[in-house]
Amino acid sequence: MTVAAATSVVHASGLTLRYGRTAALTDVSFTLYDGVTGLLGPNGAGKTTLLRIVATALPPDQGTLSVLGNDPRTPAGRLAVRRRLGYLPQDPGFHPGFTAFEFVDYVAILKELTDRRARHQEVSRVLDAVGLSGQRGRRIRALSGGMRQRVALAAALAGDPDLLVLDEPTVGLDPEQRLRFREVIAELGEGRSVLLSTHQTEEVMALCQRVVVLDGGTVRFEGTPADLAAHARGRVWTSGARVAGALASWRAGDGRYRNVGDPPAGAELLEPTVEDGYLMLVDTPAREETGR
Amino acid sequence: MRRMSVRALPLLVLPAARATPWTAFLAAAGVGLAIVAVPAVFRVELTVEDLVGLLRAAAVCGALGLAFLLDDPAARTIATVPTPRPLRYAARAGVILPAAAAWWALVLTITGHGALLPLGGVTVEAAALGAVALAVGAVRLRSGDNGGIVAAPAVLVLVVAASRIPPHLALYVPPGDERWAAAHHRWAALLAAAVLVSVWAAVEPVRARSSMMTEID
Repeated sequence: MTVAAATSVVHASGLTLRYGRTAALTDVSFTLYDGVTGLLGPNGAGKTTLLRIVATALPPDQGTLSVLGNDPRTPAGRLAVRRRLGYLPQDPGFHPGFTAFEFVDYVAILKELTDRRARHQEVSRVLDAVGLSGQRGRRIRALSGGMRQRVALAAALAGDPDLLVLDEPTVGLDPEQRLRFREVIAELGEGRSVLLSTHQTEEVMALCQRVVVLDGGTVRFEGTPADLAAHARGRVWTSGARVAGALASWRAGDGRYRNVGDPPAGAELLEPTVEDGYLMLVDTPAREETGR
Repeated sequence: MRRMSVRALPLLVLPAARATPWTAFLAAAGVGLAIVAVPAVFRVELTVEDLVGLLRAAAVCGALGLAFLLDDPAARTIATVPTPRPLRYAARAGVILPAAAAWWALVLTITGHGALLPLGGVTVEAAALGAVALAVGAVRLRSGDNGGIVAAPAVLVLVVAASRIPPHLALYVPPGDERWAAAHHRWAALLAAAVLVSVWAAVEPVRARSSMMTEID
């Protein structure tokens, strides 16, 4: 992806939000382009808060935000964003007595798809896109957690939005469901923008063209997954025993220890992964970071 | 195909009716009906004051049931749809209010003695209690999914408080009392205030209060 030539879909500058005395976000700035962008961070980093702000569910206390060329702080701008937005919250709720089709149809009405025939075609399309065509007539209360998550994704997709905001969409899914979800999200990322919150680095590696790391309510990194991995270049090595002073040291499948941190002289260095780069970032105080 | 307007409101009414959690309302409305029906069935001779007391008890039941009718388990999922929340609430109201009105009409019918009872005044009391329940529920829904768990206790607190108010500001006064008209002006003011709060509560977007957040993430 050529970032310089890409279209800016979301531009945030200096976003700050407090819950009472607790700062949830502090001076958060980032730019979102076409394709899939991962929002990575530990629990409590402020990911959900940031996604809710981008999705117009929550206004920031301070800062400027442009989403799809609109300012969501104004009623007109907010409406314009919502007409082109699909949002999957972290813990989506449903009307359990509705069937999958009825629920997505209800959301489609709320998304202003008022023509019945066209709307039903759209609902069928999005249920097909998430692999739920065969379950469209089943009540939501009878669906598994993974299927419900897909119903929520189908609801987010209704109306063919230009921007998808997905908050930890694969949480609670088993490995097969997670894989299927990844397939769907990767496909969705072709031709639209997807902002995906996760705390799974393998998801970032598998799906994202860009990644933003949020920690303690501030942006610690913004760039490509390769750039994030490069953060740990020269800081990952292998050894025959656990290294006490390392940021992380664990026994890999080959029986040797993989270590992240400051290597001893002559250490056998390894190629870093996104996970290594992420570890270096979040386990290192912000003041020590350079060249962000 | 796009552009929702008030004309499209009927599209929302049927799903809104299905999405409305009726169980609490039906249970409370059933208790309210029983309160007025049992004396009627057994032909118990009651004074006007007793009958007004029964209607007031039924009204409290109705308000407790109404407290839960704005609850929406899908609130998070539809938080950012372009259809504005006031319109979504209007669709709910289009379902809830006729149901509540029909129930109250049934309560009055069962109670009978229409010519003797101050039905207008008691109806204003019932409407005010119901409006307070919906208003508190709507305020609570600005930062959570379940308004009823706050609105129902709020109704009870209001009823207890109303029965403890000094006589010159009393809300609950016996029929025929010279303070009846003044008391019902106060009930009407409460009703108007509750409606205004409900309208305010429908405005979006809103800030989540820190006490409502289980954690920042």
